[in-house]
Amino acid sequence: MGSKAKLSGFRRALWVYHVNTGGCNGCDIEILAALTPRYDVERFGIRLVGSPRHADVLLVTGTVTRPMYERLKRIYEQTPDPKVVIAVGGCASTSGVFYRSYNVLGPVDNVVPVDVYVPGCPPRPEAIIDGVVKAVAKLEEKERALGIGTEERG
Amino acid sequence: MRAEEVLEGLRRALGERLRSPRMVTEEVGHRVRRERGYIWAEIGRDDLLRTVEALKELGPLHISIISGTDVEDRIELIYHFAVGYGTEGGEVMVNLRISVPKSDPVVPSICSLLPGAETTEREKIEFLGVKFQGIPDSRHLFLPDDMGVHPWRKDEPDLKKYVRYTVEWEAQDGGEDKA
Amino acid sequence: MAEKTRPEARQGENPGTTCFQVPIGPIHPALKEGIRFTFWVEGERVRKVDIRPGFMHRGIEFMGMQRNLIQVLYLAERICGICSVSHPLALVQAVEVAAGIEVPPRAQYIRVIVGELERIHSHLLWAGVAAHELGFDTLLHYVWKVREPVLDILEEISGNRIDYAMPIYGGVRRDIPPEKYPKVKEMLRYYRGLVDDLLNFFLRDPSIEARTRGVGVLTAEEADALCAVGPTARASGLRKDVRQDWPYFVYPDLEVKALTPEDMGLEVRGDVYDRIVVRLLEVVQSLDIIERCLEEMPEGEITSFPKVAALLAHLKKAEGEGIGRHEAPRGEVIHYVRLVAGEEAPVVWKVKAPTYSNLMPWYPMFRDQEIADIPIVAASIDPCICCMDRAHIVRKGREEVLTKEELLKLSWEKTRRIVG
Repeated sequence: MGSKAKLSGFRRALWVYHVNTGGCNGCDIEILAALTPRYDVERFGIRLVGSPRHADVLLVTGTVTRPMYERLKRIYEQTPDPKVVIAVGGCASTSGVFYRSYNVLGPVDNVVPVDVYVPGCPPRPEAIIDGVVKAVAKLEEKERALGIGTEERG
Repeated sequence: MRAEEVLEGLRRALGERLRSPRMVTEEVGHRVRRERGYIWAEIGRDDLLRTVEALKELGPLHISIISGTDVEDRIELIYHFAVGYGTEGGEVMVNLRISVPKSDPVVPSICSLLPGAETTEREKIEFLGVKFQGIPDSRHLFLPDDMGVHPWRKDEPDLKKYVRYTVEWEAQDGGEDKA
Repeated sequence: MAEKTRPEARQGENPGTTCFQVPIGPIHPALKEGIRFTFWVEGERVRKVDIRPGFMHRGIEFMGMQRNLIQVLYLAERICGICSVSHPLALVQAVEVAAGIEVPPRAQYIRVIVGELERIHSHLLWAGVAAHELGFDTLLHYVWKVREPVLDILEEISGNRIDYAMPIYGGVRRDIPPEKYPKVKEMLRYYRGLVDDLLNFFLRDPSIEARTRGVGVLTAEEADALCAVGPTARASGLRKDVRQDWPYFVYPDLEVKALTPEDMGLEVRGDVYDRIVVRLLEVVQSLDIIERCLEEMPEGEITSFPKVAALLAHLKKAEGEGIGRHEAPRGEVIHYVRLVAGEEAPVVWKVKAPTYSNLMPWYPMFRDQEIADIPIVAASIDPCICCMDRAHIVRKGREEVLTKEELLKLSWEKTRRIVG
């Protein structure tokens, strides 16, 4: 795909649901830091929502532990299409330092298909924003594939 | 509180049953040097409650953690207590080793004397298979109720079934991927 | 697999209704999120609570006992992202005692500086989260914006905002060269200028006071019997602080004392308000400590084993056991390590994170609280990003599941009612 998504090209607000499947919280606080005034993604219309049913983007952090496996699958199924899954951090992308344990089942792509990987331990808020921007481009592609027009969602 | 006082108090309470007591002191600090002390000793499981009572008399008692491992056919628990917080440099770490056979891994619970020990005792139940007599709540804390293995034991044959090799390079490393 | 089990009675109370609990699964936060609560309520008041931690159990100790000690250090850092240097600081102490490794004084000072910088960032993070739980989102954004300078300094010193990888067995990995002192002092000045504002916003705001005074009380006797640690214990009046009681690094030189609300002239009540007081006072204390460290730090080496290969060889031959303790922002962290000659991996590695000790104190805190206060009481012990994932409420034998969102809404509505 040749198009580059630019932040000014967001045509609607992006609703993001965050789920931690067993990480150390480092990525979670960098995601929260992205919402605070220094990085302030809310000015681009990105906001965290409380339920996967309203989300366009799933931000998954942490390596998948045994109890979270079913939960992550359920959350993925509850999120309506078109959706994008972003694996934030080294643990979500490749299990990071957590391997060979009786309770760790692996990186997120062992459970659900991932569209964007944001490496880092933890990735800086700028890197997370960059990942979300790339996800927007993919989301718009998926929308086109589903035949959904891009409406203003405000 | 000084380590000698604590050791004296333990000797008074237990006499000969305080086995291999060892007092270690070290100096910490840069220009201001302060001495801090540890006591390492072994006791039998029947003396545990009496020891905790003796420690409580010496000063405010805090249990940091119970660490444990298995050594051949015995399970060894180490109780890490801290006696005497509240004064500068005055806390002494008391580390008591208790060894029980795997065939009879029962230890009296100290929750009646120190209710805060419940979390750490419950953890030992699930990770090592120790049983605590008199514990108010013996449910699993961190592991599933139906987990059949004790992860910290070195001789658990079924543990391998739970361990997954999650990325390719590990599988090549000689591990197996268990679905 | 969901099974219904009958939980054993807690706190000697029998609410008189049949209570069921549906376990979803075990979890182990060696300190983290995803704790499941079940509350038995009568009207709007909580009568009994059951806490089952654990979605985040990763088997850290199990993994650590199969790797060499340098890998264990990196693993220890990632036990928690918020107090990410606390675990390595306790671990290096334990291994240094077990293996008999000396540490040069400059390294000890640098360790203290990084530990205190982390304390500032963690307490400010918590203050923002507490404000969010109460419904004061403006305050959340303000405090998190104000937290950025300390992360900048940490990045300046170590290269990363989180997970600094500074401590190593025998010293620290990076020096703080004198050229960087002015930047650190600039940051300290910035925060000192803000202290009055922070105290005003949190402690002199009538709505915060109304929401937190008398809420989530933990008496001194309970805190002592249940072995509470950290600001939770100090807010109940116990003068319990590892830096004071069992000094390590260069804390004897710094004469750190445990802070309780009495140090601000307040009567100790052991409620959520007192916990806010203690944490804000500790931020000020950390600023003083860092300033003293910069002044008193001697020149010299930063590690006794500059080459990692030599360090690994020494550790492989080492035999012994050791304990390391550190006062993390949340309380006492303790690591126990046993090394055996010829083995690269530690034979026993036991980790205790502070929230582990503060799990039992949670039970009396919830007694007779309103449902709307559940979020702030749960957050008040600082369990690493308000880990309340889902809460089960059992009312008159009927079970409801309230998600975190719904509980937060109840909390915010209560604030609006109070503010009027």
